[in-house]
Amino acid sequence: MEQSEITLHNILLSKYHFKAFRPGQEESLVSTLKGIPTLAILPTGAGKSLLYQLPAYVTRGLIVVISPLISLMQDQVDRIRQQGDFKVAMLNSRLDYQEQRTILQSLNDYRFLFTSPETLVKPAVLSRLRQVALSMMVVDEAHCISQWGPNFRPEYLLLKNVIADVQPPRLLLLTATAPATVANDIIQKLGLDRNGVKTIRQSVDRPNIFLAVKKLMDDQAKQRYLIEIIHRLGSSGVVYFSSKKVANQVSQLISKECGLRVGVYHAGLDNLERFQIQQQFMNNQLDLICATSAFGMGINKNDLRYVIHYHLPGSLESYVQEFGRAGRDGQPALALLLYCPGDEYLQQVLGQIELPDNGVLQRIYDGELSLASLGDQKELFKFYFNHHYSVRDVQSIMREQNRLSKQRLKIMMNYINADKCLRRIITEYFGEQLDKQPQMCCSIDQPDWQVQDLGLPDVELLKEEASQQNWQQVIKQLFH
Amino acid sequence: MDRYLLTMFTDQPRRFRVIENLVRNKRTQANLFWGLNYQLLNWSGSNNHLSRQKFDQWLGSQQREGSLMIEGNYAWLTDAGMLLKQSCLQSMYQPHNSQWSWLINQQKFADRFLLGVQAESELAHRNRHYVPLNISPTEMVTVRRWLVNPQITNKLEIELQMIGQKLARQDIRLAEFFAHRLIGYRTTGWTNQQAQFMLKLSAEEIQILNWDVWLGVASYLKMHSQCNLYRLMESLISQVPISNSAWQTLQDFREGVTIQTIARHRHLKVSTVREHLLEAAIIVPQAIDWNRLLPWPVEQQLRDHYLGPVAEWHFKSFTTDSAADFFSFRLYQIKELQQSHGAI
Repeated sequence: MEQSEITLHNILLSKYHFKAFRPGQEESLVSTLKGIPTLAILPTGAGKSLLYQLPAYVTRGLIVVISPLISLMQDQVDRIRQQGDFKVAMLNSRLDYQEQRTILQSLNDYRFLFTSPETLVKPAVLSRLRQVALSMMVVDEAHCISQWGPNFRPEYLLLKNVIADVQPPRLLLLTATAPATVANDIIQKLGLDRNGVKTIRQSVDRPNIFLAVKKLMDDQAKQRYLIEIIHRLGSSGVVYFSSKKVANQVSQLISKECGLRVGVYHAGLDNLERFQIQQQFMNNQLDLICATSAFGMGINKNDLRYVIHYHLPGSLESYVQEFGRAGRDGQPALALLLYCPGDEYLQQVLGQIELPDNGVLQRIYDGELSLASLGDQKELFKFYFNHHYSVRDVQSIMREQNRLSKQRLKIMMNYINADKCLRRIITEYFGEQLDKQPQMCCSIDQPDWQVQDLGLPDVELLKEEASQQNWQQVIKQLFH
Repeated sequence: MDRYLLTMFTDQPRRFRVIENLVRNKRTQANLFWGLNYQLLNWSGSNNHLSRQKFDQWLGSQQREGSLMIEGNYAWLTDAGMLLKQSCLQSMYQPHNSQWSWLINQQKFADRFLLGVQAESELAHRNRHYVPLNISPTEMVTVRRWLVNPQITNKLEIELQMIGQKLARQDIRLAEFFAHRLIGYRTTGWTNQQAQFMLKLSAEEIQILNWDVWLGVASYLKMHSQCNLYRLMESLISQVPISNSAWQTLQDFREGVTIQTIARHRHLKVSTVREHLLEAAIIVPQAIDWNRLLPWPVEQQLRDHYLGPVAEWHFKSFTTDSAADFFSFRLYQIKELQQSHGAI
């Protein structure tokens, strides 16, 4: 083992209390620290964030992490703050102009900066980044740059110019789910030389997670089954929804019928509620979280025992990422997808971009009609128009996106209607060979599976002392 | 806060946009005047996040359910609505500190307060590995600067207990909610849902209780400026119940400066200065020199002309300066209302 590797191991032990790296971590770290642009394709739960957190102990300068979702940034920021060793800042649209300016002015005081691609490309931000000493630039969820992927974000296309402009000494690209086409697309769209990028890929398969699909007659039967299975599963789970309203309704039902402590987690929460639900769930003071998919991405609990999807995810990529939050500790876990006829329509609506006719779009392009007439999609169109795409280009991109979205939904439906091993469907989709099936594999191979067969470890619950105390005792306990 | 909104209506027609704007804290002179007339000023800012869409949906649902009648810009309660209002007033949590609604922006105040207590609690347990409540970076800097003072930890517990006692004297639920809202070492507080369960209150009652608690805390600190917590929160506590600019106008006017001179010196429109004085007349009527602002002959002329309930008067100009006439008219209305409410 070289000296640099010994140092990495020492930090891993002393700062993160792990004796060994997880597969792919060390190779990615060494490559990135050597200054080789590195694309790390590691499954959810493989410890991707360590790949940019640990280098802060062995390098100097600012580590810039580009992330597509505020909930993801927030989760990472919380974790670095909890570590207590480095100052970290977030720069995004939630901050007002003055706050953004304050952060930029004091950028030298920070070791980590989390930002979105749209904030990063602002002239004031770029100009400041050129002035400070950079340690590393990290593109998190790098698959968002690929038009082939389900989470395509056009703003990611701007990163090519940022990298060329800022020239970070180290560049790390992270993703959990990138088939070969998407991986190649990431490298190309960032303007990197394919031969100069080190790609480190670990299998997307998570053998400790039992994969199950349950088809039900209708929504009522789905709710009944959900209650029944949660009764058996108990604590430490997440149920994902595509709708905040349904998440709220079903959470109340679970709480009433199962007697569990349930939190609801979505974008409508204020700072305090978000903090409380996260922390209570981490401390096992909450048994279960009902979350909307985008916001639930911030949930990061090692001993999560099950992830249930109440609504259909938009793609197999999203599904794999979301259920991958279960069993990060390597212990048995369950990924269950519920389906009843008609579920695909909600996802169809969510996945399609409504395309105005040619004349309307041209009038918007010419400034004769307000962008507001495009409703929810106005920001997307604004991006393209601001970056000099023609009306025809935009229409063609949108049509292609709609076609791909339909295709992805079809693949998801194939997963639901599968008559062959679900694990094999996933690995094949990502271009991998499944060498070995775990004993408890999926609901196709074990159609009569029962919760007790999964061997889910017990979750240690924390006694709720504080909520029983009177107000004087609660205040006293804060300081003693 | 659906049922609280219902209690803000009566069987007499009320301008429903005024009620919407008041709870959202849109403090125009017209909103304040009608808020005074309806005696609803204490509800200012009780729901800053209420959207137009949600309010309109609520109006529609009340109309469909037969509680509210709507015509033009006015709405009033039906007999069924009046019964419902009575039952809400009797059974629902009623705020104790709403007279202090002008003191703070509740969200910002609570965020800074909670982070300050959390950081001190973790410090008291010598724990530096914790997730701080995420508030804006400038607010975090303010809390960090406050923490530098080593004297705080010992006194903070006592200060929090004192605040708790003040709240408990008003309503034990205020003290319970306050203490269980705090976060710190191994303490994450109650979520809204948990508070509902523990205090046996509805979601809308918890929303109002939350508002009430922070107004109570702010009013306590305002009276106890020697507190360490006051030093943390001072910049978020309004010193005066009207805008700073209106307060300045009021001070200038009290020192004998005329409206025209105030406008000239402060580069304001005369209409803005008049708006300031109307705001002051509504919110701090005791601070107004009524005789100077509304001279006796002008008041007498208005008295001769306008009869009956104030809300039913229709403005009519007597001179060529209709803006000045309207100012006097509105002042006279305010004076009449304040006298009938016993405020002056």
